[in-house]
Order: sequence, then structure tokens, then C-alpha cells
Amino acid sequence: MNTASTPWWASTGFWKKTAIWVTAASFLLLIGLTFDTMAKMVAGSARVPDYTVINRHIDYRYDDQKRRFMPVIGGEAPLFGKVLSTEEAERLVTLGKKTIQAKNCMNCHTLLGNGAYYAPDLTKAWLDPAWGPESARPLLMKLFLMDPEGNARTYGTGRKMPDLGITEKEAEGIIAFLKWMSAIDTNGFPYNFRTAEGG
Amino acid sequence: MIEPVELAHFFLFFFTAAAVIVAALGYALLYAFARLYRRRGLLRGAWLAYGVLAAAVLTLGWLANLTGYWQVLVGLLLVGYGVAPVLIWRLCVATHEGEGRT
Amino acid sequence: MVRTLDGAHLNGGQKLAVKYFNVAVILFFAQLAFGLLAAAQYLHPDFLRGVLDFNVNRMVHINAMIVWMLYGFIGSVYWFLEEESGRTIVGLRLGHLAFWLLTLAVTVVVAVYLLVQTGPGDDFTRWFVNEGREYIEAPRWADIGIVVVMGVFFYNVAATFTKGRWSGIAGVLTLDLVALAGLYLAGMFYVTNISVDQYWWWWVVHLWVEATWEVLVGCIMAWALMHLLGVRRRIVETWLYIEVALMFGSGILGLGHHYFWIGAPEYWLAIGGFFSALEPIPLVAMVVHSIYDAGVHRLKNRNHPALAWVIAHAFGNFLGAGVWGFMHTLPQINLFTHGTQWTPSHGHLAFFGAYATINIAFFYLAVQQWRGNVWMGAGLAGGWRWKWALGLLSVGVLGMTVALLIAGYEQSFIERAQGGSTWSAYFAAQTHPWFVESMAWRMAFGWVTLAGFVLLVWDLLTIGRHETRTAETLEEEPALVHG
Repeated sequence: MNTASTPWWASTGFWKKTAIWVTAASFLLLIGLTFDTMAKMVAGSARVPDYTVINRHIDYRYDDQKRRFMPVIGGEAPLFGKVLSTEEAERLVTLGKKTIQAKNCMNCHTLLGNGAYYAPDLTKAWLDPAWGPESARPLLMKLFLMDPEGNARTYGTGRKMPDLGITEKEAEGIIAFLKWMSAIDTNGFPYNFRTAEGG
Repeated sequence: MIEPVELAHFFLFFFTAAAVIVAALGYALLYAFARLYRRRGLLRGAWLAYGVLAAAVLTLGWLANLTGYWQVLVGLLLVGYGVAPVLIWRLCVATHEGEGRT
Repeated sequence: MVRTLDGAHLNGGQKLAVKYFNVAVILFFAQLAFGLLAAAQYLHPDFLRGVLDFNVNRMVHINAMIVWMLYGFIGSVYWFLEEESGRTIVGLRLGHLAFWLLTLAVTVVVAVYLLVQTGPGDDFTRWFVNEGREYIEAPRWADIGIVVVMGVFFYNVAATFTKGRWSGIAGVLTLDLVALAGLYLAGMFYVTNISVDQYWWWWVVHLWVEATWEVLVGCIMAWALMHLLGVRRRIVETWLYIEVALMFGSGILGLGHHYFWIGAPEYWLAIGGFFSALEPIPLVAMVVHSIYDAGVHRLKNRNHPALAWVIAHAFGNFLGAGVWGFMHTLPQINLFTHGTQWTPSHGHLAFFGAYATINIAFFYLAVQQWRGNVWMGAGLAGGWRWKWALGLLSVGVLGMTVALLIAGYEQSFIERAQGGSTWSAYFAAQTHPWFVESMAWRMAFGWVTLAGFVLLVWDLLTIGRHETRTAETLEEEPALVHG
């Protein structure tokens, strides 16, 4: 119901239709993009590796062609000294992911940069020079996760990770998850991150 | 696909990005008041604010290395924030017509 | 004469709304209290260690915020539902039952958060203790409960409008609630692939906060503007459609700015950058339109505190969502600001400006009616209280925002750009004097915010008690009947 003096482009009816069309078009575009993105992010794609990547050596280097940092998947480097099958790897990473949710890690740490900011980002935690050479890393991480207060290094902040009752199996799952996550292509985030060997 | 902002430009970038939106607000405010009170001085102020907005957008384009198709974004910001207050004002006048005054 | 808060002044929906508002205010307090605890732990890491660790406090802090705002929105809709539809609410008893169910569920969830906190890495923990995904930590059983309660709410809204009067506000509101409930489902499944997990998680978080919540607030504001200022219905509804077009047009694909670094394809850098650069345009539109309205119409304002909070909303939203959002939304800079205190800096001001202010404005509208349409215009007795509450809350939140901004700037510089985001770079940034002092200032402004809250509650409980005048009534156009 518009008065006669209102031009069509200012009428309620015109804007009602515009609102509907704009919303529908945006949403349909989002649905289309979602299908494409899902196909490109499935585990085993170029961007998100298969879970068996935990059997391999992972590095993170600057790619001159892409002009950004990229994960680099190398030769065989099994986690905890054992090459895992596809199912075993997925089961272990799944245990890690479920533990990370169950222990509410995301309300202190960030994962892929999302979460809370009280503790370090975990996106490339597996590759962090602070965890020493790759040969010692799984053991150091496991000991830390099972007794974070006893093995705390607070770097002068006084912040210590609480003891969350993480079992040995859960700790292995978390480490497998972190190793797998570090191999995801995150468009160059974090920038300028130097691995122990990458330099 | 993106060329990140240089470390030395961080502060300038944040400042410029804030200036884009603040200038957009200033321009919108001055434009609306100029139309409301029919004052040429305010309208001149609005164009000045738009000038600041345009300068900030161009600086932003330089700082954020908006080259290639990212240049479209610069154009979009210049046009979008430039015409929005004008169009919205006309829409205000038109939607409120038939109320006994314009 | 003392005016009491008397339920006789309220219709059925408004009585239910008042219940929602009461719980909203309690949860608002919980948000502030647990925020202060978490802020204190930045300064004194040993404080409450092993009892209430940072992750617990921070989880309750952000969950209380989401839930009190939802309570406020649901209450606001119930508040105007009968007036807007021209009939009593279809399932009012069901609505009361749903309120108690939701409140019971929230209580149990918070009790489990505080007492059980975490569990073993199995499905049971995710179903009954904690889902461990920021903002939507509520365990799965509670998710299902929330969907059921939202279903009741949706039924009440849709059925009441259908049997009563249908209007433009009713149409937008009903469709928005479908989207709101539907999007929540996107966060209700487990997936190991964290890229896929975060992709859907943002559907809930972003498309709630930067799309459907905005439109919900648009509906509430549209009704409030008619009620508060006597703006005509046809105009309000045309502008509601304009805002829906602008908000959904920029906000739905603005989702892309969360997909820069989660493993999603590179085209999201462009989509997210372009659309989020346009997200402030609806804010520009609101500014121009409010000047037009204020200048061209001689608007009567029957509730000064409510209008002041609406003005705070306009400024807070513009600064928090507009300026603070744009400063770090382009991928060229977000590469360095992502995952730093930049995010909470933006978050504190944007949530306050966009949503907290509107809920508080509505609380004042409710209290006015509840006290028998009491005068809340010029010369209100004890008027200093609402002004100081507004001032303290605004200064408190703005102070926290600026403190976190300085911390975030320092972090993006030292940790992200220079240090390359390693753990040692992270801690180097955390111990930098800029960071440490910012955290102290954030704490101080947190106390200012709490002081504002205390004053606000005192004011809401007492405003108009000794006022003898009654508010003038405004003429409102009836709802348009379509079809």
C-alpha cells in the first residue's frame, strides 16, 4: 500500500522483492561455493591431506611460485616408530580431535587461528622449533601432555597448562592430530613461520 | 593471490583503514545535514570528507598492495561509499513522501 | 505514591517476556563476572588454577554473552507479539514451559561446565559435558533441547501472526527465525577434519552474529521505533526491507573473511575481502536515515533512557563492527592480526554496540510499561542513574577495546610478522610491556563496566518508582493486513 506519489524504486513492494532476491541469490551462491569448497577440503585432497600423512615427514616452506608459505610433504617418517594404515591413522587422528574437543583446548589455544588467546596457536605446533628435533618431539610432547604442570615451560608468563587427565593413548591421538593439522594448506598462515630445519 | 602488508606499514595501514570508515561516516553525516538544512557550506564539507575518504582508499590500495583484480575493490570502495549517502538520502525523501512534507 | 512493577500492566506475551529479561540480566552478570576472572588470570596466572582454569572461565564468559542476548531477543519478540499480531499468543502455556525448560537446561549446562569441566576424549563427553567448539560448547543434548525450545518459539511467532494479523515485520521475523534455527543445525555434528569442522562452525557463528541476529534486531528496532518515536509503519517496513537487502547482501558472503586460513580454497580471500569491505554500508544507511528522521520529523520521544541506548547502539555498532571490523578484515592484514587480541578488541565493542545496547534499550521500554506506562521523559526523578550507567558501561567497554587493540597491535607486530608465530615468538609478545600493561588496563576497565552494570540494575529496578506523571501515548498505524 503505497501512496501514488512514491516512485517505484522507493516503494515497499520493490524493496520487499529486492530483499528476497538479494538474500536468495547470496544464499544460493554460498551453497554453490560450499559444494566446491567441500570437494576441495576433503581429507586426501591437495589442500587437506589424507590422515596417513602422519607417516610422512612434514615441513613448511616459502613457495616462490605461490609467493607464500606452503606445507611440504616429504619422505617416510612414522609417528611413534610405526607406519599406520589408512584406518589406523584416521582412528588415531579422530581420537586426537575428540580429545581436543573434550579437554576444551580451544578456550585457551587457537587452532587454525580460531579459539582463545591465552596459550599458543596450535596450527603448526607439530613443526615448532621449541619442541626440539623431530626424533625427540613425539616423546617430549607426550610427556608434556600427560603432565603439563610438571613439565611446564612458561617463558616468563607464569601461565601453566592445567593437568587435564590426558591418557597416554589420548596424548598420542593429540600429537597425531597436530601433525596432520600442520600439513593443511592454510593459504600461508602463519606468515614467516620457521621450522627447526626450514630456516 | 595476495601480497601482505609490509611490516613497516602496519601502523599506517590500521590508521588508513580506520580513516576510510570514519571519513565515510563524516561524509555521510555532513551530506545528510547539508541536505536537511540546505546549507552549501556543509555540502562543501561533505565533498571535503569525501576527498579524505578517496585519499584514504587510494593509500589503502597502496599499503595493502591491491593490484590486479584487487583494484576492483578500490573502485568499489570509492563508488560504494561515495554514492551510498546520496542514494540513501533520495530514498529517505522518496519513502517519506505523502506524509505532508518533503 | 509509589509505583510498583505490576504484572497487571502487561499482556500475556509481556509477562513471559519479563521472565526472559530477568534471566538475561542474570546471565549478563555471569558474562561480566567470568570475564573478570579470565582477565585476572592474564595478570595472576595462579589465581584459581586447578579450580576454575582460564578455559572454563572464558567458556562461561562467551556462552553467557550469547545466551543472555538470545534471551533478550526472545523476550523482546514476545513483548511485542500480541500488539503486533492483534491477538493473544497461540501457545502461551507452551511458551512458559519452553522458558522453564531452556532455563533449566542452561543451569545444568553451566553447572556441568563449572563442576565437571572436561572429560575423556570420547563421544560421551561431547554429548553430556562439553563439545569443545568455541561459542557452541553446549553438549549435544543441550543442542537438541535448544532446537526444541526454538521450535516452540517459532511456532508461537508464526502461529500467532497467522491467526492474528500478518505484517511486514511479522514476515521478516518469521523467515529470519527459520534461518536462525536452521543454521544452528550446521553446528550439530562431529567431524574429524578440522577444516570442514570450522567451515560449518562459522556458518553458525558468523551467520548468526553477522546476518540473522542483525535482521532480528532490525525487526525489534522497527517495532521499537514505531513505539518509541511514532514513526509510521509503512516507512519502517520499507526500511526494514532495505536493511535486510543490504545486510544479507553484504553479510552472507562476508562469511568468507573467516575462511581465509582454515584450509579453504584461495578464492575465499577475494570473496571475504570484497564483501566484508561492503559490510559497513548498511551502517552508513542507518546514519543517513536517522538524521533524516530526526530532522524532518518532530519526533516525540517517550522514553529517554531507551532512546539514549539506541543512540549508543548506532555509535557502538559503527565503531565496533564498522571501524574495528574494517581495520583487520582484508586478508593482506588479517594474515598478521588473525588469532591475536585484535579479535577480542573488535568482539568486545561490536557485540556491545550491536546487541547489548539494543537489549538494554528494550529493558527500559519493558520497565516503563511494567510500571504502568510511567513517565520517562525529561526531568525524570533519579535520572542521573541511567545516565551514569550508560556512561560507565560505554567507557568500560571502549576502554577494554582500546587496551586489547594495543595488545593486538603489539602481537601482530612482534609475534606474527617478526617472530613468525612460533611458540617463543608468542611468549615474547605476551611478556612485552605493551601487552602486560594493556592487560592491566583491560582489567581496570572491566571493573568500570561492572560498576556500570550494577548501576544499570539498580536503575532498572527503581526507575519511575516515585514518578507521578504518565507517559504520553503515541498514535501508531495498525499493522497492514496482506492477502
